[in-house]
Amino acid sequence: MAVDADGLKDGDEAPAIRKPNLKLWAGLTALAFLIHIPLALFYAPEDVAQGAAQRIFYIHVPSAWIGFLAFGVVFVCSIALLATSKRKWDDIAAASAEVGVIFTLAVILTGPIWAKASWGIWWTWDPKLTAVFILLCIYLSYLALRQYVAEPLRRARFCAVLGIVGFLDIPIIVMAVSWWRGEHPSSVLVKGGMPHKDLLVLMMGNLTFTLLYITLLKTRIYVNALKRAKQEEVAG
Amino acid sequence: MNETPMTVTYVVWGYLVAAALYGTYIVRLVIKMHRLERGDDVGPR
Amino acid sequence: MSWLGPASLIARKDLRIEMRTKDVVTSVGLFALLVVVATSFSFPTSGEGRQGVAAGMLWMAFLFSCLLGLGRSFALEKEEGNMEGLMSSPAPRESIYLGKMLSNLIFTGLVELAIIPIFLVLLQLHPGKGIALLVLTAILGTLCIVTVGSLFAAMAVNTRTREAILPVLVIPVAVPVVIASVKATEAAFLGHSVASAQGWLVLLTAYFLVFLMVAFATFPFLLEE
Repeated sequence: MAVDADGLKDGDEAPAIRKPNLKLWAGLTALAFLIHIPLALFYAPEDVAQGAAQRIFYIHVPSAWIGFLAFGVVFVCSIALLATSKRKWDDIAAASAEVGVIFTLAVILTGPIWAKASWGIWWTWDPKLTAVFILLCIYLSYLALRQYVAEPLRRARFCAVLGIVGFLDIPIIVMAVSWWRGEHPSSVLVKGGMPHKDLLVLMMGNLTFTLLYITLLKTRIYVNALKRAKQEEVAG
Repeated sequence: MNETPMTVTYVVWGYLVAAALYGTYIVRLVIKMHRLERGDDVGPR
Repeated sequence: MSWLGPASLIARKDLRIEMRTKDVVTSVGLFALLVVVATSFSFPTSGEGRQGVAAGMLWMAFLFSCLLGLGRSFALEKEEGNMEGLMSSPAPRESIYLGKMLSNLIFTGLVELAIIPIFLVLLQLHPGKGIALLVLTAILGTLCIVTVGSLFAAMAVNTRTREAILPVLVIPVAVPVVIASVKATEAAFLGHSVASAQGWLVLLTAYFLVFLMVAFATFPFLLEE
């Protein structure tokens, strides 16, 4: 295993940057959206109380789940990086954190719009939304840390530690915020007993946004690799 | 009955905001990718 | 446990230096006091729910003082070039973390111990039976903050912005600590017993244990060259 000058190890397949098959992934993602959006806007039954506003749910919830997935990926890659010092783990973690922030930002933006439409107020300190907001702050600080450490191996390690701490903090944050808002912790997680049609559209949403995540992740990793090669070319 | 047009407005805004966010990110990423592939430097981020 | 020996040596070194210079305790202590004063002007301190407001103010002071102390503590090591010396010693890396964590706990604890009576007088609070809860919460909450804070401070001093990035790293991660500490402290100000806030105290303890383990597992990687 070659140890590059900056301390991170490259795998045996290192030298050439392979462009991922983005057309395929982007195509699948676009197709999924073409199915999902009409389903969400027309097929999904309207909620009696909330009316049409409920449809935002089909953008809001998948964004949340996939954002959470993204940070889970950061967590796993962080551990792998500390264990092996292989560059690819840092590459994936960095890209996943950035993409995760975008998805989480979507949750924070659509949440208040949904809240305003359903309950008339923008922000209610709802435990789930509050916890997501704190999560967003943690991963923004991750991105900040990436900017402020110059040396690659050190940056990878520091961010890995933050990635691990941040992810393990999530259940504790959820508990603390729920208790703070007077909610019983057990109601925090999965909504049981959704109507059939709603569940179907939600599942489609999750699939769609997962495809979006994979496409964006692969693109970001590729772009970062190109950028690094460019910087080495300029420096060398 | 009065509510429905209001609520639909919010739904539209919700989808538009999400589309704007994701769309902006996608467009910027793709532009960056093409510029790097062509060989231009794109700066620190 | 081979950690405790070197850890206590490091902690005692910090304490010895501090007893001579009194740098950290005075600057952090003054800072804490000024935060208390500033927040007294900014938030209502009378009327309904003032114990909640007071609890929030106290923990803002504690949080920022703790971060200030941690930043200085690690910055000093870096400035003096001590890290290299510590790393080449046979001491296990974990004990470096533990030593710094303990010395910061003691410094911040001393500052808090001084601030609390002043605070109670300034805001006309009478915890009565809640005093035990107040002290216990102060200890646990501070313990939690220095646990993650020491880990991040070791990183922060090695960044372009040095200690300035420490609050950015610690505050989001420490939100549960702030919530739990403030709620428990509010209960203390209202005169409640330790038992009434036990949920919050359990949360603080769990936080401390989880992140102590994470710190022990990951700190060595932060120092490696």
